Amino acid sequence: MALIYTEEQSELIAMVREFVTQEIQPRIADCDRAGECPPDFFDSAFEMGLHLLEIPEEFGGGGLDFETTAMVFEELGRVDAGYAITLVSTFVALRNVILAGTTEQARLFADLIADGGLGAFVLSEPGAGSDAAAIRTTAVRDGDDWVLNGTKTWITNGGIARVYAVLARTDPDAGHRGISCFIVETDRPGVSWGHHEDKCGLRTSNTCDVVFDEVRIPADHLVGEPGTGFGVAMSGLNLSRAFMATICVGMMQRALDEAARYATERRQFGEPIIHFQLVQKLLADMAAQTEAARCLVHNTMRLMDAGQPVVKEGAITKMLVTDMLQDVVSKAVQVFGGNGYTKEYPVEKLFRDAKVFQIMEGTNEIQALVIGKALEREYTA
Amino acid sequence: MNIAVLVKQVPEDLGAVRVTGDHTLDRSTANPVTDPVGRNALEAAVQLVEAAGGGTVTAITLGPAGAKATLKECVSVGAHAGVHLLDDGVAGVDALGTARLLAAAVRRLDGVDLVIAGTRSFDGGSTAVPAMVAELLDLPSITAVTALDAEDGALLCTRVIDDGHERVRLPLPGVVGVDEYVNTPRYPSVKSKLAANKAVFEVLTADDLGVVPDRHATVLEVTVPPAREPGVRITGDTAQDTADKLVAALVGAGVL
Repeated sequence: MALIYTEEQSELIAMVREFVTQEIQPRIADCDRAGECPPDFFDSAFEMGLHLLEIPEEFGGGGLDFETTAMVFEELGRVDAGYAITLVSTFVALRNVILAGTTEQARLFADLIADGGLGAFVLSEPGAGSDAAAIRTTAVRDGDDWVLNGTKTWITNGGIARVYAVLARTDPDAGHRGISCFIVETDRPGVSWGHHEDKCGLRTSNTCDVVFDEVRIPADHLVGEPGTGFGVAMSGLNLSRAFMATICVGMMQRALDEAARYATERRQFGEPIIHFQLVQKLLADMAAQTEAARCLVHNTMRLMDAGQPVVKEGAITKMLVTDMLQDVVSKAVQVFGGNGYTKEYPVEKLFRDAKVFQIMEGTNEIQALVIGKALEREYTA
Repeated sequence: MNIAVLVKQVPEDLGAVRVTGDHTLDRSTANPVTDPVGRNALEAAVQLVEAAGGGTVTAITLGPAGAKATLKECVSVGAHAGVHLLDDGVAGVDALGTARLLAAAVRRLDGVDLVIAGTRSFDGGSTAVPAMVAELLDLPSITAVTALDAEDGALLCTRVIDDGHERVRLPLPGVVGVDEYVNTPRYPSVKSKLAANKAVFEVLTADDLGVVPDRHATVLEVTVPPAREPGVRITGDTAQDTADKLVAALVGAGVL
């Protein structure tokens, strides 16, 4: 592995690896088949604090830096991307509130999940995917309350979260400057959610529509100033893109591990197929891409730890790593041959799980636009 | 309830351990981990203290400098303190010598109600140390325990015997050796794991304990078990093909 770890990081990684390999991995195939996880599935992760790793200790988190957190999430991604994303989505939602809100608001959000609960960042709508500024969910001031109405879609953790960070329009005429962020407890009257999407992959991650019907929330649940929600969403996406890429590195490492191990066991023409140079070429490409992806992710994490903006770097990382992931999992299936195309072997699931990473948290086409815009600014300045 | 837990590091993979010319074990090629049954002993202690609503758990380990990692692990899952018996002069000490050092370390602690250890360590596996420690401390002991509950100044212990289970009431203070079935050790939280990195442990030598590490047992010979003949792996293109090959192999071997 290309990284140098501190003793503390090595121990943390070993602890999490043992936990996910022994406790979570054996249950994943059933959850994947069912398309959902049992209610107690995240209890151990909560007890270990895996849902709030990078959150400051004052809000009940582990207080880790981004880079160490990424090392842990690579381990989670190695075992199940959906499991990892459920936890990432939780701390990203809270991180948004910490960045944009008051200490009291951050504490309100954190207290709801610190002892064992999930959060969700509620942004996408049927008409607002890549065009995030086209949000139509409204929040209208009524006395001391805001009243939310609208439908959200593709919400990770939508049906299992205790609390949401919701993007809603507070000014119909102000474009992206008319969007605000709200803390919404999911047990408030008028909050409901649709069925969990029957997805091709990432089936252990809860994804559903969320409906707000005359949902009243107190005025102090508005995060930051009215009209600043779009900025909150963009900074949240920068963070979640970097962590999606981390999970992808875990998936790539798993694909490589499985393929290389299989190649030593599978015999053709009287010998293990790992002896054949064309198989070695597949494995070499997978290893090279995995190491490159890991280095890219960790550089982005170090930039974030240094407080640098990672708009361009985060987009580059997300685009490249998720593209490389497709190639790596496809090659893993190729090494497995026909067996890799069956549910009996783990690379089939990796193959299904991989695709959505080119779509979620901003499609890779959107990432290219973000990178292009950043270059335009850089070189015309 | 104040509990001392005896726990040690063992090689993760005994296959990686080499026997040296002087009949000792070279563990340098093996990854050291906390003895799995030691983790059960620690978990049992933490659960008893939690149920009692107070008390302390002190982990005691005898081992080289790297054994500090085991004490850190113990603190990350609930031990309040750790004692490291670190002395190059006692490396390779026999079971009685180990028990004398451990008993001396327990004696230095105030008001110990209970000593818990794994009945059989993963590496040595002599099963002698817990009972020896009890004898040296002049305490009652029970080993091979698979369940235990505190009850009015005593422990109700369950252990497996040849024809069933045995329930034994152990008056306290006493010594218990547990099996790996006694509980499922908890995982540390990230916070407790990081906090354990800052823990400071008492380090003691045989001299500090007033124990002379004399050896009563001499190892005359150590032999590695002969390698087993490798098995035959039967694979086919389909389940039917595999089954056919298996049947043919069994017929060929005269089993069927």
